[in-house]
Amino acid sequence: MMSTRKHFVSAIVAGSLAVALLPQGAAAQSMSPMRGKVQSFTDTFAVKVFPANPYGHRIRVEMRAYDAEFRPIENVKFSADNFTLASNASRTVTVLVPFDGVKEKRVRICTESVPFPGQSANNIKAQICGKFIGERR
Amino acid sequence: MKKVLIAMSVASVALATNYAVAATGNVEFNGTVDTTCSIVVDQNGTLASANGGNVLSSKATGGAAGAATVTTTGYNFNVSVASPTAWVSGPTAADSYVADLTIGATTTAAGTPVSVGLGDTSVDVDLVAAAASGTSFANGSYEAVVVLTCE
Repeated sequence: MMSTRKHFVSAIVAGSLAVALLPQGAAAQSMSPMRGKVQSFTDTFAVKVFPANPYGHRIRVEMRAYDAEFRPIENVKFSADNFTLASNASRTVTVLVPFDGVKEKRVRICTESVPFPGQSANNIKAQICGKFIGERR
Repeated sequence: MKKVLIAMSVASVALATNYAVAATGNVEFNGTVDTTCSIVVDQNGTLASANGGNVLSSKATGGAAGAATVTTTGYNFNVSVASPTAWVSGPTAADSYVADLTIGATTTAAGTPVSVGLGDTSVDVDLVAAAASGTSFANGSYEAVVVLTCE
């Protein structure tokens, strides 16, 4: 657990340059930014996104990462991947994506709304996906 | 001479006053709108039985499409739906699940992205589930989830 945390912190430090290249701003609905290109000198690149809750009530949000063919990427690290958001609130999520040996990686980072246990589920699940490209230098 | 000095003083005061009135300044305003996409599910869909119980469809009599509003602050966004592969809950598995989305008068099959413009777009989502040929869905409650994606 401790080594995982250490790795996460070091990866954040390593990816801080890449994060700084992204547009900043938290006044978004659902998720922003939706596009981005990140250059990194490490084995990992970092993306900072702002999922938001446009509803008038609290929602549970899950973060997911997919590749260009919409296949789940398992070894992505999120600063938070399952959390609740109050009405009209947003929060920052830092996503660390490994290059896995390639020089360019295209990923979708998605915000998915999930119902609370015991509540009647929405039978339409909203999924907001930003497209990001990581380039290794 | 005294009168000339008085006149010059009055003129200089008048000029100074005019200069003060003519002074202007620009107050600039700047703002940034982030590029975002938002989905708000306005209404869940309702499935109704059809074809002698072989089909559960939101397009059947008594059924209703789900509705969502997609709001974008940029261009080059697409929406799409993905058909479910199984019921979340339901007594009889379906042989097929086919979802589609409708924007305006245009209906598009699941898996095909549709471009949406700037601002609000109303999207209707339908689902048709069919039991195996010659069989019917057993009585009970059925629930499926269709994923509506904006990217």
